[in-house]
Amino acid sequence: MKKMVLPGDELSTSEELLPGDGTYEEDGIIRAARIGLFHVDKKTRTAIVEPVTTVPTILKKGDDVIARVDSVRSSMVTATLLHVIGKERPISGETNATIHVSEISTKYINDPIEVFSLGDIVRAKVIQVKPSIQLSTKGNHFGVIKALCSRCRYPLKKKGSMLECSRCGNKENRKVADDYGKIDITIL
Amino acid sequence: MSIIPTLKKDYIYKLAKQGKRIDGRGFNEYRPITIEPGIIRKAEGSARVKIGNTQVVAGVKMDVGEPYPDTPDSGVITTSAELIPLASPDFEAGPPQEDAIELARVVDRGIREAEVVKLEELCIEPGEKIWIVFIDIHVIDYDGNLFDCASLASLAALYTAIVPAEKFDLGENYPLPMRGEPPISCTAAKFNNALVFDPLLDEEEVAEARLTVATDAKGDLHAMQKGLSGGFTVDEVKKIIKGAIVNGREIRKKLQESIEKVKQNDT
Amino acid sequence: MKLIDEEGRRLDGRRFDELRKIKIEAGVLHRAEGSCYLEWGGNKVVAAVYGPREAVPRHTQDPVKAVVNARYNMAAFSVDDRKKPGPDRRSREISKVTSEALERVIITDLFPRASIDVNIEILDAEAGTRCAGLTAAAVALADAGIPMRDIPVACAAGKIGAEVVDGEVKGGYVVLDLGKDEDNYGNADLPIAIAPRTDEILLLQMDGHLTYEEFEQALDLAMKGCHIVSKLQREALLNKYRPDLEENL
Repeated sequence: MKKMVLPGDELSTSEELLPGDGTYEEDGIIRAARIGLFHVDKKTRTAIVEPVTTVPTILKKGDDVIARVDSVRSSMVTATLLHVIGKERPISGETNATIHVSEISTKYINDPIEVFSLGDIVRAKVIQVKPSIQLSTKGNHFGVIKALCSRCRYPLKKKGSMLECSRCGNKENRKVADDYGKIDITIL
Repeated sequence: MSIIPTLKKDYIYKLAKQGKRIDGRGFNEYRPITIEPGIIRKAEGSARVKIGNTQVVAGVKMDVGEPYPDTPDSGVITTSAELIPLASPDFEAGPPQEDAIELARVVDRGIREAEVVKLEELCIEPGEKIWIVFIDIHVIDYDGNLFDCASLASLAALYTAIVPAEKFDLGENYPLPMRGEPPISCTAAKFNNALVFDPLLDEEEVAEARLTVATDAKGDLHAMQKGLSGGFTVDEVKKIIKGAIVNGREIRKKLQESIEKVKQNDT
Repeated sequence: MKLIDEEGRRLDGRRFDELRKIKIEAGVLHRAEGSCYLEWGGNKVVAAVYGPREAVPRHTQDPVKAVVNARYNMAAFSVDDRKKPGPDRRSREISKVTSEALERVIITDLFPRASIDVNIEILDAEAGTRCAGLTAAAVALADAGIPMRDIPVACAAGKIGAEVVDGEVKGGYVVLDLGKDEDNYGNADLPIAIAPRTDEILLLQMDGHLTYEEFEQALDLAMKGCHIVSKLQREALLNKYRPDLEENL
């Protein structure tokens, strides 16, 4: 049976178990760090407190994120992380990230300006958190999910392999995600 | 989902085209409203009002002061609002910003222009001493439509307020003199040619224009405020006024019931 | 004003070691990450937590841990004479010592560059608002799932009923949790906050006049009060989340 515990409650000694998610160790005792249900992962002999509240979002390698492109340079793109997909809470720390030109696509990209533009909203995978946040948009599901016309700031629509402005007819190229223009925001 | 406004906008627009809103309400429909007057002991009058998840506490305090030179025998109302960081991750501490000032002024106009507070009875010595009525609006939880929530809370606080005459050696305490039926503010937002009443925060964030209309029991108009950088057609304005009168009737009934309840408990 | 009679009964009928009535509710707000509503005697307090989120402006960031910003604020209508809205010197000081007390128990090194913002609003004030505010803030932090080593709690003790005869202070009683008149006309007030598991003192202020022996008594009494309030905090959190627990089993 899982027991409800509160911050500071004693769970075990550190001889018996390892301190896992939602716990901390102090003077040889493992204690709860949050409200939740205490249980032991038998395989790893780890004490875990499964949260019953929402918990802060700590960015991890492998997370899928939504980011906004802030600048496009010759060898990389800088972006601000807006959201970790599947999480309710804001990112609890650094949100400045970069996408190196070699991480944009599986195809060769000479200059990021060919496929990204200032203000684009992209879906990306976190490939490094420390010392700096690095993203990748390789793969069909990653890349731009929302872009505005660089001339008139009107939303671009997908037309064949290009994006087209439905107001001024301007055509632009992007590394788009497979669901460009069809995003269901309720599952972000 | 609150963090990606540009994506949210597409979604809300798409729903609106299908005649839907994100919480499933009709375009003219309000969220559930609860009105609890008399919750703050230190205040002369007070109320907590919830419209859906939006929550406002308004308090009335009174003091004796000097009248304005142009109205020597009339009391004074002053309304302030604080958008405290408790209520939203986007509200910042510090002196009131434009939004808070607009909120306070719109609430103030709704109350002042309907002349529901008998200011002429709040004169103690003409030209010398009058009562000052302070209305303070404290936003506790922000999920859209602060204008309606704050004006309802302010009205509920005023209609149940007691003049603290004893504290100033001015005789016995008595109920704040009010006249007539309360004016009710109703707000609608416009996006993508849809007009929705009682906008949610998510809707306000993508709205192009907003209109608040205060109407009385007869359906006459007392105050209006158009906000945001988009525009309305004349027909849209008329439609909102008509909707405000209809919604106002329902809300007025609710407000009056909550006020009556307090008065009965007092006697 | 006679604050306590010969039988040790206080103006509001309490014994020397009795708290005012306290009601705590966790998770009351929609927008905040965690929240708490608390009534303590005539005090009504709401606390809300936002974050951890990237601290802004950037120069406020600490590269190795989160910063804890508590903000204590009184509503204009919460006091006898209307208070001008916004922070004053008193509320800034309370905000500072509250931030420091809370920071001690929060595991801040998990969130470099972040801020954890704790907003405490006093809606109705009647002596002891800083203790009520910190107690509510601690519940809101737990409700926000912020990792903590303990749930801090605050309570005050003080001294009432002493008389000054020929310049000498005579008599008086050390009592728990000063009420309104006791605060205004009493002899000393000693608010503290502790981490109840270790009894570590996280906040301590005092004003008035106590002998060393009276201080010891008051501290002991305030500690006892803290432990009673701590139980109420725990109950509030369990009440809020027990239904979830049952679903999970």
